[in-house]
Amino acid sequence: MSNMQQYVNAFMEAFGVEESAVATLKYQDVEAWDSVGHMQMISILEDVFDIMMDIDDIIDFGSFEKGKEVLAKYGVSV
Amino acid sequence: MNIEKNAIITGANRGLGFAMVKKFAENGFNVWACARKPSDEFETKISGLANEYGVWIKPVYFDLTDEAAIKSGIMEIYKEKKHVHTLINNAGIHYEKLFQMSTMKEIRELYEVNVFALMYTVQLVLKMMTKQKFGNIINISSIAGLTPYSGNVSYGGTKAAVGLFTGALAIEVAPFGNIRVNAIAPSRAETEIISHVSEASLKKGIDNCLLGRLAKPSEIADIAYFLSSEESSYINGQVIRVDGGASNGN
Repeated sequence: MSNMQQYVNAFMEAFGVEESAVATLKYQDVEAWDSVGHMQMISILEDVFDIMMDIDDIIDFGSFEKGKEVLAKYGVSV
Repeated sequence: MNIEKNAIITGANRGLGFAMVKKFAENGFNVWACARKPSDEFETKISGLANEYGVWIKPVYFDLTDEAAIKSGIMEIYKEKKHVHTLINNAGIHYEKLFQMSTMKEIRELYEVNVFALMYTVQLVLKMMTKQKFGNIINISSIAGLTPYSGNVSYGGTKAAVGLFTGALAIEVAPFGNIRVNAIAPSRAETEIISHVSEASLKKGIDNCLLGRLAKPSEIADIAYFLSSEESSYINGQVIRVDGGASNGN
């Protein structure tokens, strides 16, 4: 499975959204993406890509698009 | 399903920490025994325990004043992809000094190790616990964080911070699964730390204790194990005072 598909799946799993809704998703756009949901999504991504994100990056991870930049810092290209 | 039980214990090379390593190993826990510096003596001791109790005990070295080193140490554990049942934040530094005689450097050092390093360790280990949706975090506080007395403004302040942190964190992590967070507030125990305490202060502590003695490290380790076990499954967000009744004697 490609990194992009795993990235999309993480959003779908964490927030219970359809694949078509993921690309434009931002923090608090949906009820499930609250602070608890955010940490759950981070946890899935860390597991999938075998990384451990710094707190600054976790805070910065405010959208699907922004997340790609954050992951790039850890050598994960999506 | 039987899940392998694994614990991370900081400050594991001596005193309370080593007593906890022994207690957990005796009860079938594998342990990541964290200490500041590599030591043959330490590795021989934990290897002996591991053989005696049929578990693994791995040394993990990091300096709590170095954030990058803490992350690297915990990453070492994280990459093993094993469950972390229990984290015991035992490592800490101690001194008693009048506030007006304490330098800001000394006070910062106390907070750096006793509070900030502990918090950072918890942040990192929580990443594993929230994934697995269970875990026990046990912070070693002190009765110095519950009762004010002369000479404990700085050290007591750090331990009070650990107590409040414990209760608040228990609330924050509750949505992530069965993750309990508790603290132990021991009085002085028979460890090397008492060599930094004045004779008069030590005597006062013993005189105030209903049992008339210091705690044995194993008595504190017993409580840590209890808090990690299913027998304490309804205890959460608490600071458990373990002081031989000293609080009743005052």
